[in-house]
Amino acid sequence: MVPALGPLGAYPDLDPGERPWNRHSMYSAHARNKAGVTLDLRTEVGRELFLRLVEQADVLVENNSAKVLDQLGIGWDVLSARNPRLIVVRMAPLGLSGPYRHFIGFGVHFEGLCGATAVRGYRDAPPTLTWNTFHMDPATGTAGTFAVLAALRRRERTGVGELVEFAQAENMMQHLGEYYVDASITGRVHTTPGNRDAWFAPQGCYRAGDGGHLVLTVERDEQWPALADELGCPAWAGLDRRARMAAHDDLDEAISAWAAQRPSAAEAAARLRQLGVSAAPVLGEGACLRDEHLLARGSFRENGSVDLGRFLFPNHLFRWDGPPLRWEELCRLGADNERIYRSWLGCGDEELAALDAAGQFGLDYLKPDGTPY
Amino acid sequence: MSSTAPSPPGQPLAGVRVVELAGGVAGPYAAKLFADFGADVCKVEPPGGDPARQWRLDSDEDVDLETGPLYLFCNTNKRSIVADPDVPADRALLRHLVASADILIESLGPGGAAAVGLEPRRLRAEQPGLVVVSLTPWGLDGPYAGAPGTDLAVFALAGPMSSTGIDELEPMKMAGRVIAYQAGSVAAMAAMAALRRRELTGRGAWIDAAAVDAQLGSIDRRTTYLLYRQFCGLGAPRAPASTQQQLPAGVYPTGDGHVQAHTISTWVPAMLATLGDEELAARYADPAWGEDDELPGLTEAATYVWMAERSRQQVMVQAQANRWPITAINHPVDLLDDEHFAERGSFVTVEHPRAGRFRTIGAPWRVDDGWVLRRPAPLLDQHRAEILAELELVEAGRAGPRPARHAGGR
Repeated sequence: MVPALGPLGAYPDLDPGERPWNRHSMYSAHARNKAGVTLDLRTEVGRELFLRLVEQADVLVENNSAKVLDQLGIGWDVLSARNPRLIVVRMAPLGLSGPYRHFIGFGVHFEGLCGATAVRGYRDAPPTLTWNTFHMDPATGTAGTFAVLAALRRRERTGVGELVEFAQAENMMQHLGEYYVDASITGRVHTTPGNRDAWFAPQGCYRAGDGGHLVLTVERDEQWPALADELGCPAWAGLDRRARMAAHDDLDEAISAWAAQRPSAAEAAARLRQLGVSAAPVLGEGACLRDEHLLARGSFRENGSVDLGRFLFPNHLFRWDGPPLRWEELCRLGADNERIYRSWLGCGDEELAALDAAGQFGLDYLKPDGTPY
Repeated sequence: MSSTAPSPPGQPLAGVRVVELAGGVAGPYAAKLFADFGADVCKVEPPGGDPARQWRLDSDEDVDLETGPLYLFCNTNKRSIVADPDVPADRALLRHLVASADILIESLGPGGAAAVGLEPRRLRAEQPGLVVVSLTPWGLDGPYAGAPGTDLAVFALAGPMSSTGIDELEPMKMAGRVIAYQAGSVAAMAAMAALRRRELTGRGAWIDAAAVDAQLGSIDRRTTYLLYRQFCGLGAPRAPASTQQQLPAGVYPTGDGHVQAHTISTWVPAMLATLGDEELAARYADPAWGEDDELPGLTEAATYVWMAERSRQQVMVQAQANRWPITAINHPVDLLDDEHFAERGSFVTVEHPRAGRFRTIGAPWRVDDGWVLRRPAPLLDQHRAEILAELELVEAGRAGPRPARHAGGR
């Protein structure tokens, strides 16, 4: 059994290398276009160094639990006094107020708390299954960027920065908005629908002859007759959406039988697309990296670092006809100390040596007692 | 700028005008983010309305175009006007609306905007400051461009569906329509970036916002797993149905439901303090507890017993008090009465002429003078008269077609 994302499997060639923290797959997923610097916030020297960086910055983003900034003596009052134009985004998962503000956990915990877990999963099964995929983190990154851009825009007018309280759970809850509205209107307790849709029918995930899976959705009545015919059930062609939902079990059976006869999930999905039905094969990572559509769009692009090597990464989240978006190497822990402290703070050789002697610089991840991992 | 759609002048996006020519979730959600933070958003709907007006969470419910929960959520703070692209007068109306806008968000598919007289390149030539966001499932080019594509199809092809679920059963989708919401969130982010650049340079942009790209670039976990595959040649598996764990992790039953737990070795003291089982604590006191083969089973049993005697809320609160990360697994309806979200005022009450009084989730993030509910989701074509009046006002006194507003000014 291979660990889903174990400590070994997460590094190139299963080798953690000299500095594993610069080689981990999850770290690498969000490390491009940044500079990596170190300082020790627990020391007065490090705190002052941080505040000097803050003076030069437009934005500070942090996702520590709610009390950490104040404990370190770098709360909003301190930060905005040093740089009134600073925009500070605080991403404590449940916000900076309320009885749960100090709760700890990963995305999966807050998805459970907020109702996402209860409405995903196999049909009518209890939520006692483990999951590999979560939504809170990706939802945070993109919306957090929107919030920063909006704050920068307003700063042009006001001349001052602001505190953005970004409770990650509340942002994720937006993506479940219809459930809360529905619950408020009807009092309904929502349950797990499997791969079915609440409104469209049929929708599901089916196994093809090659063992691969494909998904399909009939979104509109006019898409249905061609599929009914393809399934060998022309008598069903007249079923409207509500009738199809009522007969979903029978439809699933017919689609499963049809899918099992197709040579592959990709072929079956292509046939459905031909019929005007939304469909796609469920692609594993290898097939995804080779997919003709994604390759034709240039969806993958090389990047890396001297510690990581070179690999294919998903291209930018969007395309535009503006100037090229930045595509620079992945940052490495502490690798940009000298460059940033010179260019941002004007540090000279002497000061850099003093800071180094004061334990501010390093290329290694340290345990709380100061020894390398 | 409209004088009849006031937003508090201090709101971050006050003064921004958006035309939404989109239906469903992604486009309307992108436009909602602008509307909720102060932009004036005109939602242009086909004669039958945004199809999402019909969608319900119960398939058997009667369809009232004004009361669908998804529509009510995704369209707050907007104004609605109906335009039928097959009618020449309505095409002219569309063109005038866009001419008055800073941002056009459209989800008509590749070539769809051109087919209604809004070819993005031509619009950009006539209105250099305009930001056009074309939101599609597959993107504007490539072999699948223009094919139908639901959020489930996008998740299957580009997202981590293959590793979602358990390995004995079929791959499993995410909750609700979160994949479509995320595509909308990326589109809104891109539009904001383009708006910022236009304010600095005077130049707008045409954005190709594809739901597949939003999934590929989603770190938790598709990007991570695409790298993992290249790192070691393996795919990320779906989880087995049951795994023997060293320490409590996953979903556990309580007296009234379930909780989500996760325990790594640094949290063992927190776990022991919570469970209060002295025998168990004695065994963990041995530095070599990791080699005690009976310990995982004993820990699991103690956890089950302790949780079975408590509600999920009690389990969560007591465990978190000891810094053991456990949370209740709630249903969406539970959140409406939850003490944390009540104290924070996370849900706001909406008064709607047809749906009545209900509650909805409020601000996605909080800033001074930020998220405000100015008006509920609009009735179909509700603002036709005022929008037409505004455009005529603008057109009066000008000869010929109305020129584009100059970008970059403030």
